[in-house]
Amino acid sequence: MKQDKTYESLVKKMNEVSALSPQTLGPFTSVYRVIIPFFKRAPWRPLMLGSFAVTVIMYMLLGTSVVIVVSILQHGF
Amino acid sequence: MVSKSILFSRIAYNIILFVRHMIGVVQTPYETYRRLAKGEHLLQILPLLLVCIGYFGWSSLVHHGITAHPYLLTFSFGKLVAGFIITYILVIVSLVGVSRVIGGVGGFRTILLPWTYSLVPTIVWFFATSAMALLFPPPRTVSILGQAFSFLFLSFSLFLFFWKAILYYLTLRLGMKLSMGKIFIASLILFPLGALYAVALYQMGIFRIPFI
Repeated sequence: MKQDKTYESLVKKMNEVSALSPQTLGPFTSVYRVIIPFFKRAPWRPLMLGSFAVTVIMYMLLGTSVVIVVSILQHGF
Repeated sequence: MVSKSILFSRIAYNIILFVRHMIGVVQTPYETYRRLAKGEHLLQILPLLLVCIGYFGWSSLVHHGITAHPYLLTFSFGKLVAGFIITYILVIVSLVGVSRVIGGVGGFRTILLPWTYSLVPTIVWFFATSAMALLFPPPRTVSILGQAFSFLFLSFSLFLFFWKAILYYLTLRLGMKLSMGKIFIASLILFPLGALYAVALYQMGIFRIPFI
């Protein structure tokens, strides 16, 4: 019997999708679903913005003491 | 016995997969981790592990200098490689063990590739930091250049840290099929253990920052 390749690939895809139950976070589920697509493709873009923002916050909190943190980190390798 | 041509084609195939997945980990981590969590073609981890071992050779040279006694360099290299192998095995066993206890589905095969590829940001950070330490040896000063360097270095480190966090999340989400809540619980168990282990490694003089 000739095998239906399209059907087989559809079943394979369905199995792959249904292998993992959808993520729910209670009242935050809708927020999660808005944010997550930004991290699924090229996450380095939001990550660059996020790391820049956190660095600015660290500078605001620690001031010039940030150089001490960096000096310690530089000894960490 | 596997013939030479089959062996060659297997090696070539795994190298192609490795390159493809390396790009995927940067560009489309979610899709890539879905493929990695299937646990197929495990040989592709070899190039990544070789890069890690290469780093430990480089790190020994940076720490002790190229003119250091070969015995000292070999001892330092051996210590780092042994520390890395033990840490690597312990982390995988802990991830699988803790995940299974809290209801995860999966095993060593499904977690091996995702966790190994999550070492990419680690390798990048360690290589970059060691190169920076050579070019701009610490300590940093509060001069404008020192502050500018600190800002860039911190941003870069945080970027890699967040990237690592995403790959850790995807490892447990896709490798062990855990929900975010369960990943949080697993992290509550794993992180304190990891912190204790990091202190032990520091006291033994193996890693100041654990190579995880």
